[in-house]
Amino acid sequence: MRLRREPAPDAQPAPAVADADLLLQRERLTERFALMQSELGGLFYEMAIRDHVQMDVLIARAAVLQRVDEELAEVEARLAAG
Amino acid sequence: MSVSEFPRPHLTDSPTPEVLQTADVQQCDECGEPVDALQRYCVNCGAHRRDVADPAARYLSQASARARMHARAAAARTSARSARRRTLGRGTAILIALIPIAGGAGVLIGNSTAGTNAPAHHARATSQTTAAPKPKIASGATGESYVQQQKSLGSTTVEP
Repeated sequence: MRLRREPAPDAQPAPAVADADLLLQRERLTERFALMQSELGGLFYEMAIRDHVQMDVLIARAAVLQRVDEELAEVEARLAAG
Repeated sequence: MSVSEFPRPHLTDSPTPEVLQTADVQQCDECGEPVDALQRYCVNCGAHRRDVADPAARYLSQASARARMHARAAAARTSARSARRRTLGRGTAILIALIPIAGGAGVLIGNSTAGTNAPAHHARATSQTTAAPKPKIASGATGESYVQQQKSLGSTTVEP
């Protein structure tokens, strides 16, 4: 598990054509990211109002969200390069 | 910095009413911990309880459904526009291809018409010429009667 933001992995030069698959992948990842971020906020809210905040659970969720964020950044970099 | 260090103005002092009022206790599907009936997330394992009303999840699902519908409509509009453009292009190509064919057909028809109609026209003109009444002139006419007639009228300009 790692939460410290690292520089994006070396983005391979993508093919010149902006692939429709990449656009679809970006849309799916964006939707997933938004849902997971909303769930993380909802979970923290639920814990806070019950005075039962568990940082380890929140950090584990945040780590999963970070992986999705990185995937999304990679796809957007490939789209920008293409 | 731990969470307990953050100022919490009313979370612990006056929790959300539903937190206090719910007496129905259920079990988390993931970890089995007791959870309230209205609890959207298990605070022990963090599992999202799907059967509990969640306005944020509802809003997100509606927004994504709307976005998908708009994307589908835009794609349908684009494909319809390109299909219309394809049809128009095909029609134009057919029209352009028909121009020399129509010209050739016109030339052929014109040639065939000129070959059949010209003698008929000529014959009609000839028949009209022959049918015109010819002035009848007497064989021995000299014009003397006309001169005499003028003299009797007293005309001086008439010369024999």
